[in-house]
Amino acid sequence: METENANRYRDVSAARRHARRPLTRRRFIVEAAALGFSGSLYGQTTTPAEPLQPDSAALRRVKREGSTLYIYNWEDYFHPDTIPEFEQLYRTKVVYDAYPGNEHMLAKLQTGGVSYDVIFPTHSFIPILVAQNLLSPLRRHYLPNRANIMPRFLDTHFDPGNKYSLPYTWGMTAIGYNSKYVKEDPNLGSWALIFDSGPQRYSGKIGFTDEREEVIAAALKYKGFSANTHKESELREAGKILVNIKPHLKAFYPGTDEKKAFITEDIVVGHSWNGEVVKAGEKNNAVKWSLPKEGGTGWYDAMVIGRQAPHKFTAHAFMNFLMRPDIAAKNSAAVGYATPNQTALQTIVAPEIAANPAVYPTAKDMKKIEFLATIPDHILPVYSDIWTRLLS
Amino acid sequence: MTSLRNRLLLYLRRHERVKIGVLLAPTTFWVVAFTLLPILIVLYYSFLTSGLWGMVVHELTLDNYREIIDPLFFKLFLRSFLLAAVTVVLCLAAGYPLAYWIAFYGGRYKPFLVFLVILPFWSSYLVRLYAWMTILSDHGIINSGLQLIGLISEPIPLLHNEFAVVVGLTYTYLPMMTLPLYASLERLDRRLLDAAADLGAAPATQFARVTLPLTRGGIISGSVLVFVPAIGEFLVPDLLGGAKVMMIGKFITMKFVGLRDWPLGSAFSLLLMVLVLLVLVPYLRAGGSPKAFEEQL
Repeated sequence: METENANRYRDVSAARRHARRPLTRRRFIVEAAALGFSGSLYGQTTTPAEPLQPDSAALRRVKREGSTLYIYNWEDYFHPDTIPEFEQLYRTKVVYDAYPGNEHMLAKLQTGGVSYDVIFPTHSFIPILVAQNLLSPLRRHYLPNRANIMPRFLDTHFDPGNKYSLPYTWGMTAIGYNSKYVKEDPNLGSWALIFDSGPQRYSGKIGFTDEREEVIAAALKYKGFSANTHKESELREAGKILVNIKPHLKAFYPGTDEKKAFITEDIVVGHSWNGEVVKAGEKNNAVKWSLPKEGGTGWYDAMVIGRQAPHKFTAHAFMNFLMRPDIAAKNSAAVGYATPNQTALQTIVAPEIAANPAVYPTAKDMKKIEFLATIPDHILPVYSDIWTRLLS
Repeated sequence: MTSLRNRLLLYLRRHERVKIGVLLAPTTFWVVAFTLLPILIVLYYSFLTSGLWGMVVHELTLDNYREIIDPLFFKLFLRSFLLAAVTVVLCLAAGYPLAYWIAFYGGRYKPFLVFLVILPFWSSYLVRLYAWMTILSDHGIINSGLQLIGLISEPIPLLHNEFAVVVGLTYTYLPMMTLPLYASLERLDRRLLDAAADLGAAPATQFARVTLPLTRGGIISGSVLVFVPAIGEFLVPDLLGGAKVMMIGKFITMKFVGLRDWPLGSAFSLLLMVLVLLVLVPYLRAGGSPKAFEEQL
């Protein structure tokens, strides 16, 4: 199924023929103009022609490093063909370890004794990894495909100058709902759909992600606070709202489990990542995305190289490979999240995907998205306490 | 060479203490390296200071032990204790008949049946928990089956609650109960049962006065083997409990991972260890002589 989809996206004209929603030429032009070509939002870049086959010198270096690459990433975060294709291209073996959350990844790296080559932390964790000296600086000349990346995802204040990281995918966290059950609800389009309508109309059918910062941010947004507030009173208020909604929740879902719950209709509304809602919608048409008027949070997952990485050259080759437009588009389609790869978005990503506001928000929606900041040490105990009390 | 070997053997034969030492060396090494040393490391960490971004500063302090008097910890300990105790009772209720049947009626299939008990350990724990999620979910086998035969109209909530956690714990640790019970039932001298029958004891009396007391060691070691890992479990409550039924293991994980405070997490780990020991000591005393326990291990 995944492979089928990705192949479809590769061929733009075929994708347009098979598009579920009829797409008029006019609408396509209007929306494409609003998205890909509005320089202010997604930026513009030129594409250098990159040879697909690595040269013999590169292959020799990969071989000298031992023809192995250790990846530490979220579960199921590539198109199924991505790793086999890289293995074949560079005649190397890739070992893929998965982690359930940034905090687990950080804890494992902190212990030392593990030597992963490429790791995929969320943007807000990059400064922590840098502060602990767990990352290896990137060598820019090994990464020519960096030119494909949208400027808005480069040189962010999480990694000025992209010394250590480059973006892999990005997304939003807001609301997924099932239109079969959520009908004529005046709270649709607001966080009140979960926090006000939830207890009466969807009790026992509400899902949440299990990411602490994201869950607390949802309640903060509902109250109209910043998702990055450092005011303890506001955080505590958010905690209280969450404790009140908890008896009505089905579960806090780890990883991609919420997607399955949306598909089987175990839950009808949920605090969720957009990619999970998009992928659920492909299997169950009634599952829809809603970015509430109070706003949601934004994030990007980055690619970094571990300090002790034993295969640094291969790691750069892999990162560069992931930034190849066709590979970026394929991965993005498979996982349901947006690619920060400008070239891929303009030339390969299927127009109905590029025009889907659940994947690529409009310029107006983009203003409602607040990127989560790194939680400083002095606020962390408050977060930890709210979260522990909520789950206990 | 041979003479050296012979002399060595002769020496060992004459010096009983050295012989015991040599024979116990591998086990001692194992226990020290993989049980004692890790606990000592945890003990050391519990006296350290936590630094920026979750780093550990090697400065000794008692602060962590001031923080562990947390009412939430004791509330969660109590809940975990109850869940683990219910698990032990259920494992005993399911494991005893199973072990009894294999030991008494297994015949030549005994090794195969014991193999079947261990079989689940060959597949991933995570995969088996996910299998339980599909069994218990609103659209799972049980709910859709009951709906199909018209017993219920709305799915009953089986997943993501305490019930699911107890089911998961019982399922996971049942072999830990069955195996020691099987070992003690298998070793039971059948002639004692014949003697009891000759003396006029009815089957129920035979069981209550002969079988049960003689397998007490198996019951105790099985209960300990189930109780100890069950009370510290955190994956089952996370997945089957939907992260809503927190147990003490998750609380400690959150100190390490969520709060990034390894010293505090270590202090809580030790507190849990001490509390579990305090619970177990009277149980072992009341349940039988320590010898009976050792025999089974």
